[in-house]
Formats: sequence, structure tokens, C-alpha cells
Amino acid sequence: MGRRAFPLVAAGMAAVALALTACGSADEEPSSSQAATADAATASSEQAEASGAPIEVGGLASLTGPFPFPDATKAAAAVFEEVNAAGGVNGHPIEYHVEDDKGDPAVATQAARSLIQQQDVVGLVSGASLLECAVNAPFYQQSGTRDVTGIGTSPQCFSTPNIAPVNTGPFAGITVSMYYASEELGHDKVCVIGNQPDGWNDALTAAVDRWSQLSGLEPAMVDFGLNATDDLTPFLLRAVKAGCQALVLEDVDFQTIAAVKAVDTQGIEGMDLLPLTTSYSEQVAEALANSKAINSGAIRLFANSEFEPFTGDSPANEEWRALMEKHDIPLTSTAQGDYIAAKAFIAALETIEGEPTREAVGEALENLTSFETPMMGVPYAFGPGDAHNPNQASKFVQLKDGAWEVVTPDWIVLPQD
Amino acid sequence: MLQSTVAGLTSGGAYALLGVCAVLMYRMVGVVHFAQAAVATFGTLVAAELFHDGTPIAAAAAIGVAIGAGLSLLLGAVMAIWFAQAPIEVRSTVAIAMLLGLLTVGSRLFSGSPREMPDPFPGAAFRIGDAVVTTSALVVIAFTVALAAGVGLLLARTRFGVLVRAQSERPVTAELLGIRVRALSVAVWTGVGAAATFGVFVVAPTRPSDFTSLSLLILPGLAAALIGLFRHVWVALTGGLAIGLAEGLLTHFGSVSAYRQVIPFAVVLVVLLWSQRREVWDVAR
Repeated sequence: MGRRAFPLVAAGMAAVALALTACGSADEEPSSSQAATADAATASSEQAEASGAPIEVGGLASLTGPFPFPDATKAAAAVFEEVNAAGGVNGHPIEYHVEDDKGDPAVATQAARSLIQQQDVVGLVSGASLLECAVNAPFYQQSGTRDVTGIGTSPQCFSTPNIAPVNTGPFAGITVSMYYASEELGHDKVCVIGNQPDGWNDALTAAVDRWSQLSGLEPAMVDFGLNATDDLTPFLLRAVKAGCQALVLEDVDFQTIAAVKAVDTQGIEGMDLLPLTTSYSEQVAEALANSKAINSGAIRLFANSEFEPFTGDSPANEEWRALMEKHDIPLTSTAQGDYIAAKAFIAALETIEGEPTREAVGEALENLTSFETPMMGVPYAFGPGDAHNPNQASKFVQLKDGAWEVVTPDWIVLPQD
Repeated sequence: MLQSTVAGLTSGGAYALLGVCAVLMYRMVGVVHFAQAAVATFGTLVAAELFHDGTPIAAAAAIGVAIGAGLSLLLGAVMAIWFAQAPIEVRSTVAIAMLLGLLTVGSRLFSGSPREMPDPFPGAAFRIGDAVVTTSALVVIAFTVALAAGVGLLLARTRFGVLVRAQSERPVTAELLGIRVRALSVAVWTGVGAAATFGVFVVAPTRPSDFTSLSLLILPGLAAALIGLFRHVWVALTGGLAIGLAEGLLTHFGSVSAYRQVIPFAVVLVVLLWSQRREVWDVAR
């Protein structure tokens, strides 16, 4: 009887593996791609102050799917709504069309085409998505569309001519975290472990190499072979063996929590853990509030904040916070990214003197080489060039007594080579 | 090296438990139960939510296990009512469908914010040199051994066991003899569901605890079951532990570390080739 099970198990395991990649499509529900356009449009028609032809702006984000960011683009929509209420940009109201890529490459491709070819948008202010840049970068270039992305993730967000994210991103994030560990915390033995989605290898390696050049040090251990389902204990033990004084974790929040748990269980001491900004959230702080290792000072947990840390009541965030509260949008770094992206986009629109066509917007963004905001460590720039990663700064927060505390009042800015 | 290897013991314990559960389900109700870990994860995450809202850990665990058992009961009932006479391939395909359904519902329900997982058995049990053996690893392994031994005795020594064996080997005959086949098989689903939920609840704090990651524990679990040829509970148990230890060991070596997730698949392949080695001629003819 047993043998009948063999091919079945093999087939089944393959099916499960396949199904997981297809999870996005199994997961999705019919969502109205136009939903988020309404706010801005209604506001403009009611106020009737912005009387010119509307400026069509697009936005793509993973609102649903396997790695959803349900609140993405909401902050940008709120900014546009305010602008419309105040008379629009040079008299033109902004109409913001948001499409959900559902974490599915096929949907992301279609959505970009629908926005650019059918809605005829002049530019994009996109939200968080794990695949939007990777899938659509060539099409943006071909159609001459530029995307001011709030939260960029994949390498293509930071290495293609028509996309310029507002956030630091995972790659500069790794570099700046390692840089903070070596230069500010004074560690010689800096290590990094992390996940490696398809196609990330070169960018991850380049991020570590860049730190080596800046610090003149070699990492004591590098392993980007982490998987979402892994028990992190063996990795941490290896880091201890390698003598790591600081361990940068390019991971997701669930993994950070598991890592701290493993530190507690194994009784690891004297190591600084530096997960990237994904772990900088109230939920993580709450989940780790009872960690023995952190509370006793056996280890320290830092995270980088790509914008002015949102957990404090910093005056730099005042305007942003007020707008978010008015529109009932959760205070997260995603909302900060979307907000700055929308503001920068408007700054570019305001410089346009004739019709705000796609070409004119493209030119305006190329000329946008310094958009100042107190929420970022360096000015945002789109500018010319084949690759954009303008945000080269972070502040660092440390988890103390179940809450994040800002430990670098000044920005840690990566020196430019 | 010893340290990393021993660190694989917790994972190994989980794989062993799920492997043993898979063998039991296969032998007793004739299904390769792909959704086992997903069911257990469901119960575990409900327990975590309750714990988060202030329920004491023991009560949260009990309710979580009850939810896991209840969900398993429902799935068992579906199987018993609509797929009682279906061949094992069909029943197992239904189990895959159940897994996909649970993954969809589960990741919706429990998505978003990470939670602190309640840890019923925190800390280290003892040390071998530098290597820490965790209490949760010991608990899971002891529980799996008890489960394997207990079910063995149950099947061999009790009237209930005889009935279960009868309904598993000759369901129609058993039914004609007046045995309540459906009730029996649903009881097995419920019991195994409860056991698996307990196991996942114990190991969850050491792992990334999102719904999908925990549900995927079934893959190494099934590899362990296959090492036991879906027949031998004790071999499956040992196999599960071995896979966990091997994963821990491989993580120690940076150069091969990236390939350690391949282990369950490699194991499946090797066992397939080995177990079919004498059948080449039969197939060829």
C-alpha cells in the first residue's frame, strides 16, 4: 500500500511549491482599480477652484496579494486631495488613478499599460510593491513615463533611468546599517545575513562591497541564503562563531522576531542586531517587549529609519502627521514615503509652464535635482542619469523597554564616492 | 559545528512529529494529508491571538489545540462524506485543495502584523558543550515518541484499534459488518489534528511565524514520512530528526548553506529511486 504514496508525494510537493508561487492569483479578490481615484476627483469638482483640464497621474502598488501593502498610495492620494482643494497645480486638478498589481507580474504588466496607454497618465507616483519596478522598468523607459516611487524594493527600482524611489531601500539600507555599525558603534566585525529573492544577488553583493570601500573593512560573515521558512538559530550560531559584533539582518519582521527568540533561547550575548527598516514598527516593538536578551542588555536591537522616525513626535513630521490623522491613515514609513513622493511630484509639476504633458513632466523631473524636506536626511532628487537612489541616509532607532527610541538625532549619511 | 547541528533539533522535532502524523493519517484513513501543518498553524495562530489578548498561555494553548482538532474534524467529515470510496490519489488531491484553501484563508486572516508567539516551554533544557538543547525541542520529540508508541499500542491492543485497522484496510467490508466507518475515520482526523497542532504550537516561537511559513513545515514532514515508506512510524520519526540535524549542519558551512532547503526533495528522490530499484523490470515489461 505504501508505494502508491510515492509518486503522489512527489507530485504533491511539486504542486504545493507551484501553488505558492501562484498564491497571488489564488489570493486576490476583485478589487476596483479605480477606487482610489474618487477622492481626488470629487474634491476637485466640489471645490471648482481647479478649473483647468485634470492632470492624470497613475500609481501602482500591491494593495492585495501574497505580500500586500493595503495602505500604500493612500498618503499620496491624501496629498493630491489637499492640493486639489487648494486650487490644484497651476489651476489643473490632479486625478490620481491607482491600480493594484496584486503581487502578480502579469497583473502588474497590464496595470502599467492600462495606466499609461488608456488613462494616458503623465507620470506615476507608485506605492510599495515587490515587483512593480522589476516588471515595468523597461516599459516606463520605452513610453517615456517617469515614476516617483514612495517605497522601492527590488534592484530595478534603484538601477533604471525612469524610476527614482524616495526611500533608502534595502541595498543602501544594508550599506548604511553596516556603516553605522562600523563607524558609529565602533565594531570591526560586521556581518550580514539575509534573504535573496531572484535577481537580487548582484545588488546585495554590491551593497556589502560598497560598505567595504567606505569603511576599509571586510565583513566577518555574509550569507544571503536565508529562506522565509528557516529557523534562524543555526545562522545566529554561525555569526557567534565568526565573532560578529554586529549582525545586519536583511529580513522581514517575522524573521527578526524569530531571530531575537533564538538569541533568548541560546543565551547569545554581546551582539548588536540591526534588521532593516521593515522591522521598525510598533508591532515588532510590542512583540519583542518581553525579550530577556534585549531587556537585560545582553544584545541591542537597532533598525534604520529611512525617513524622520515616525514613532516620536518630531516636528519634522508635523505636517505629515496632521494630514495622516485627518485622513485616518496609519502612521507608518510607507505612508511617509508615499507622502514625500507625492509632494516631490507636485514640486516638479509646479515648474511646468505650458501643458503638463508626459514629456513636460519628464523634463521637469529631470530638472528636479534638489527637493528639500525635513523628513529626509538628504534632499530628494530625480534628475537625469541611468540609476536613482537619492535617499542615502537613515536615522537609527533602538528598541528599549518595548518602544523604539531614536539614538541618532543626526542623520547618518553615506559618503558619496 | 556541533552547535549548529544540535540547533537543528527543534526543526527536526517538528519534522518528525509531522512525519509521524502523515504516516498515521496514511495508514489509518488512507490520505496523504498535505494540509496537516496548515490546520495546525491555524490552531496555533488562533492561540497566539488569544494569548495576545490576555488569555493565559495554558488556556490559549488548549483552545488552539481544540480549534486545530475541530478544523481537522471538519475536513475529516468532508473526506468521509464525499470521498469515502475515492481512491487515495483523489483523496490526497482533495487534501492539496484543502491546503490551498487554508493558505488563502489563513494568510488573509492572520496577515499583516507580526505577533509575539506564546512560548510554553522557553529556554534551554541542557547544554552539550556549547550546544544548547532547547526545552521545546525536547518536548516535541518526547511528545512524538509518546504519540508513536501510544498509537502503536492503540492499534495493536485495543478494540478501537482493531476497528480502525478494519476500516482502513477493508472499508466496505467493515461497513457491512456494522462498523461505523465514518465516525471512526473522523475520530482519527480529529485526534491527529490535535496532536499536530500541539507540536506546531510548541515549535512556532523559534520560527518565522507567518501562516505560510509554518504551513510549509509539511514539506520536510512528508519527506520524513517517505523515509518511513509511509508505513514505519519509527523510521519516519528518525528521518524527521535526521533532516532537521542535516539542515543545521549544512547551515554551518557557508558555501553549501544555500542548498539546505533542497534536502527534503533530495531525500524524496533518493527514497523513490531506492524503493523502486527492484521494480524496473516490472515497469519495463
